[in-house]
Amino acid sequence: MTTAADRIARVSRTYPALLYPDPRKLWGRRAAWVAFVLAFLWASYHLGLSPMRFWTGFTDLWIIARQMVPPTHNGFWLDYLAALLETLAIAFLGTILASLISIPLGFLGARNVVPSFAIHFGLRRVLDVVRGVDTLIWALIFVSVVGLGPFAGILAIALNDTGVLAKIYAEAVENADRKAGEGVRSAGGSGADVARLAIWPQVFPVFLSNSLYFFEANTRSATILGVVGAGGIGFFLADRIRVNAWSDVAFIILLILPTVAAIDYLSRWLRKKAIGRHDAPGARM
Amino acid sequence: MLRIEGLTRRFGTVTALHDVSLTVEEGEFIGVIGRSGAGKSTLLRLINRLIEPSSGRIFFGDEDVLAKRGRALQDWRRRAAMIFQQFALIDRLSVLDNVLVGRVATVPRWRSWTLAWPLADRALAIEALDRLDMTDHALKRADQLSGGQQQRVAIARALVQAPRLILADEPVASLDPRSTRAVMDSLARINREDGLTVLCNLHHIDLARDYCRRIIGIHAGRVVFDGPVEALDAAAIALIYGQDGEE
Repeated sequence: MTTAADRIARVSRTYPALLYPDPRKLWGRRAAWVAFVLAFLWASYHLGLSPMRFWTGFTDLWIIARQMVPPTHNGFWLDYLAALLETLAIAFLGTILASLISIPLGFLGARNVVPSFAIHFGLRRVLDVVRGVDTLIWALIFVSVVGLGPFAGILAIALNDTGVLAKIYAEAVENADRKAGEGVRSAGGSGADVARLAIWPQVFPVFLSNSLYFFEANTRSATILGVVGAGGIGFFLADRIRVNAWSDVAFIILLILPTVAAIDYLSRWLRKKAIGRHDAPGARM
Repeated sequence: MLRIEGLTRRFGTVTALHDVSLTVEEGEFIGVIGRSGAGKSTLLRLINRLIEPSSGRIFFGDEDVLAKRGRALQDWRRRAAMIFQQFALIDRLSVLDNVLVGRVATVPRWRSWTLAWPLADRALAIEALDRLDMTDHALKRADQLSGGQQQRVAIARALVQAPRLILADEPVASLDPRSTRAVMDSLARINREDGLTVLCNLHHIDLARDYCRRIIGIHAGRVVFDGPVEALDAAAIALIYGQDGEE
């Protein structure tokens, strides 16, 4: 029976490089942890983050929370509902526009479909810029271009989402199984036939599933677009907060919550349908 | 050493294993053969307690395997090491870390969770890899290896568990003929040199003939043959695989 010490001694003679982990890697990892903790402490110090301020913040929040009860609408409930519907429409149209633009861009940006480096590189850099600017900034820009109202909101959502969705779509296309494409090509299909008949059925559920995620996220973010004048419920929300009408704010939030929850539920249900089960009959897509 | 009595497992309306009783002695190399879906995997998984039986009993010595809970159950699984058809390695971890996963039941949690394995366990894992000629690949990611190499890593993981039993579930079904030999030879050597008991699911009769001394044949969830490999004649094979001679 060999003892642990014998074994260590034996292996340290035969495979010293395996027995002792690479010290450079070990110290590299430790250095990374130290850097992370230092960055956290520095940022907290710089921004005055302290448990004390959390506490006082919470007590102020409690005062506001008490002013929220009971929620009131002061006769504005129909306007609120209309604005909420407008918010949903902004999110819906914005996501649809972004998805439609992203489909061709996704195929163009996929290395296995368009082998040209120039197109690939150029497209990705343009998308980087579009994505790098947040929806709210786009909304501010479009409000001054097309004026106040939901149209600016739709454009802002569509543009920012295109930046992200086209990238996700392109990656889905790149990850599609190549063997199916060979089946179509070997039967005499063109490159476009391969994209339509072999790649599309694989990527469509991914496209749809991601677009539904974005629709969910957009219904939430569309509620704040109104703050900058890009239409929807956010306008009322910002206005009531500005005049400290907290019970009105509470009413609006109570309207938003079930709406967002319903959208989440609906999108999860649709996503499940789209991804499909393996024992389901072949789908037409 | 291992005693199974009336083991039955139903999945919904399907009875995957029906009233199986058998005894395994220490140091045996047993081939469990049968068509796909006959219940071979179910049997091994039941022994490791990856799944629970609908009824029946399993004893190891005088221990009641089915009564084990919590730590005792985890320790039983460590002693009844599984080897899977699809290897069940963690692709993104190194080969060495994959082998050390075999120590998860014995090493303190703060060490296993940070992959800061004790030196003695690292030495144990390296020696196990050395026995399987895999030290050259120790620092590679597991998914960089061929199927045969991955299966040998999985065997090394089973070895460092310090098991009493090796339960190999179709260990060579996804391997080419040469890797098949390498993997089966490794199992045979472990059985010979360490005296470890091996239960190996195979669907190839030739392999079972070459490596196993005792054969258990399963057909439609029932044990229809249990005897020395010499007794495996045409009649027995027809019983195990059905009359139509498929496979």
